[in-house]
Amino acid sequence: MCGKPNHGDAEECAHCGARLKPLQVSGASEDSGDWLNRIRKEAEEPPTSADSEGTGSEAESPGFSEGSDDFEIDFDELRAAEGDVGSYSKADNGEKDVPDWLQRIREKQAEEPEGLPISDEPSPEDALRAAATQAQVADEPNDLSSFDEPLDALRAAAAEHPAAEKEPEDSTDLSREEEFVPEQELEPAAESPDWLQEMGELDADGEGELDADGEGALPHVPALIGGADESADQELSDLGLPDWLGEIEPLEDEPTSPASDASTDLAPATLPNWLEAMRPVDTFRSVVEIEPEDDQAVESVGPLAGLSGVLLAEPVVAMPRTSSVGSMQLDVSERQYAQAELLHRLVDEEEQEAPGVPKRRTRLAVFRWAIAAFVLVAVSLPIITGAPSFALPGLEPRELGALFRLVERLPAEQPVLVVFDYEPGYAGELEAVSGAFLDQMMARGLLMASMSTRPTGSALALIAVDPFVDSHGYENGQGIVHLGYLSGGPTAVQLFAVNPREAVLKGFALPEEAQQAGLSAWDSPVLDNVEALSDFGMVAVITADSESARVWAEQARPNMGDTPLVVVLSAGAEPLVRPYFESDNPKVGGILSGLPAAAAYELRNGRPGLAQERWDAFGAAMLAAEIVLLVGVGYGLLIWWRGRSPG
Amino acid sequence: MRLFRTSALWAAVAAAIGVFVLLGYFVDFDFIQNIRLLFMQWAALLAAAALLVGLANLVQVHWRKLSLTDEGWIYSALLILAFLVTLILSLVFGPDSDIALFIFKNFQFPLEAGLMALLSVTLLLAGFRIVTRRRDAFSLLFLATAILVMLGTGPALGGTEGPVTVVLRDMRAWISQVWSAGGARGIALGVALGATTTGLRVLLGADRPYGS
Repeated sequence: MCGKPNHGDAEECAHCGARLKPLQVSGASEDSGDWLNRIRKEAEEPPTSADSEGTGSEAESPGFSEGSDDFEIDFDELRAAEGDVGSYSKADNGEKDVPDWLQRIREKQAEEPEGLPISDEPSPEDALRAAATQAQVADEPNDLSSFDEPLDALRAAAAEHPAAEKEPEDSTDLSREEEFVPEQELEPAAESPDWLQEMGELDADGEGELDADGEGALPHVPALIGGADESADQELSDLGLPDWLGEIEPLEDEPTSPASDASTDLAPATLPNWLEAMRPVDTFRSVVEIEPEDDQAVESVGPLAGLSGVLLAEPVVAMPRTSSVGSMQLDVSERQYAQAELLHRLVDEEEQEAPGVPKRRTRLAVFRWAIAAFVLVAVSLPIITGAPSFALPGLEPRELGALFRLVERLPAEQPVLVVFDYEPGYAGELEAVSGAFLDQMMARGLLMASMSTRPTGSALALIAVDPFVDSHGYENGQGIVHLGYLSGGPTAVQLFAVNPREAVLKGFALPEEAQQAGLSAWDSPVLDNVEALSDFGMVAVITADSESARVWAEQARPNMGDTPLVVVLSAGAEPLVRPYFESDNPKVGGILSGLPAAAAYELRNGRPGLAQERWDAFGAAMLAAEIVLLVGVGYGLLIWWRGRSPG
Repeated sequence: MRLFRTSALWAAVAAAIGVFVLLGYFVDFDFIQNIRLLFMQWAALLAAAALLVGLANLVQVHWRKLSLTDEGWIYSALLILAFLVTLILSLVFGPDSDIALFIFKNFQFPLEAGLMALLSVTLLLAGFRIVTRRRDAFSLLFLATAILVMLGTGPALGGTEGPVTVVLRDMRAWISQVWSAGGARGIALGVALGATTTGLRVLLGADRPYGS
């Protein structure tokens, strides 16, 4: 059943050829094909007389047109031959000669008077008749509401009858048939076909009128709707079909054209009961919903362009897309989470605008300024005003006498090597301390050679000896020569101790004549007889660093032989160098440290120097420092005491 | 090339050179003495080269600071300017020229002397605050020692022959020559032992200050 509308009088569907009106057939008998054969014979023989034409001929079967090649059934003649439809049982009473098939129907009805159910319920045939009548007057096939009732009756009748067709549960059948149910209420009684009316009396409701013995009941006709698998099980003879119908071989179903809509033209297949019970209709859900062909997208790119119902290349395949990482499982431990949170917090803090730091009020460094001013005043007063004045030291250190005597006994022909190993910052103290020492040597006219293991030492040597060079008539290159800078640290000191001429190649601040002549300091007459360190009369190291004194005492002393090593130190370096002086095998032959010792040296020397000039300022500064420290101690104790006191 | 990358090779070289230099103190063979002197000359050259490298690094650091205009880049610029001026003048006229000595006498010498004077004031201020900030026995002992030494060192108003002056002088001598000298002896001894141990470790390859 294609479900398409057809004309009301149509017996077969014009589209699919399905039978629209039920075909009522009777039981077949052996003589069912006699009248058909007779008709065939008559058709083969040419008609001889006019009497053969027309009606009433015994050779003619009623209802059939003579000379007609087509088997057209004239129901009017049949009706006339039959007479009253309900008088089947009176066929033996001498009525007109009825057709064999009709006779067989009557006989069958007579044989089974009780077989037909007598009930108030409409028989399947009546229901079918009613349904067919409604279908004929259908004007608007879209409304299926009025068609449901006869369909239900058909189904009910089919269910009761053993040969009844089991209607499929497919709801789509109803959906298709809904198209053909007219909106208006049908009047089956007025529109029932004649042949159907002859089968039984129809009242206004379209119900069949049955006799008490059920003779008026129509034979069972299997339902044509929903397939006829069960009807196929029945033999044609049981159905009372005419013989000619039984000889017709069923035509094979033509294959449906592929152009037809497969989803709507095909009749739903009928399933056997056991298979139908297994069908999970209620629970089956199609995962893939196939869209109607009209709604399917048409591919526009790629080799499948123009086709519908294919997987689109875009945006599934061709379009670039970011890989989804949502499905990745990231296992984060608590420690990692905490670290991540910390890092996140740090980053957020960096992005946050830091609140402006209020400008701190500048606090005057009162104590710093006060102490600096106090010390400055203390140092300046003796220089400016001459007061306070401090007495020169009356006692001299015990090592001062030995040093003095040592310098006094130095041979005049041997030069004295004076090493200036201090920084310019210590020049103020060491110039004052070494002044008397240098003055004594120059006063004796000793030849002197200066050098330094520091880059600034050579220049400091020039500054230190300049006051004495002029006073004692020393000439550069004649009485004093500068060897310059000795690079290499302790290693260079040892090299110099082993071979001084190879350690220092040139000189520093040589006379212009020597520089122009390309001479070195070793070419000076001061160092004529000097080949090794032991050739010097004395080695004096003027330093503020105890390490420098120790280097000379440890590296150079072994190569000095009997040449004494004398150190002139700052007061802070004395403790670390004194052991070298006071040991049983002293490495240092003489030591001079501090301004007091220098002042005493100047007193012994009889020539005042820088030590005495700075003695008063030195004393005042020392006194000021003592006062500051005492005040600081008192201030700290006072704060501590005030903090301890209650309230 | 792989042999040069191994630290064992350099350790062997350091040990061999150290052994030769050490033997030179104990063995009076000319061959060993000559080798020792040769190694020592190389060491002196390397020390001088290290000084140049340090100087170059100093300039690089301040140049980077100047180029990035970090905080205090002006001072770095002045340093580089002074360095270049002094270097150029010294290279052209000589380190003992009048102009080089002029720069030293009138710039470097006064500046360093002034810094040393500032250091003395800073130390004095630290001494003044030590009791207020750290009030314990050692702070008081430190201050007491400093005051006694200064009193015994500096001139006294009462003259150098007064009893107080004599006591303070003797006290100062006792502190410096007993406590300070004793402590210095111990320090010197420890330094000597440490230097000897370190030298032996370098000779034996236990310590590799030149890198692994």
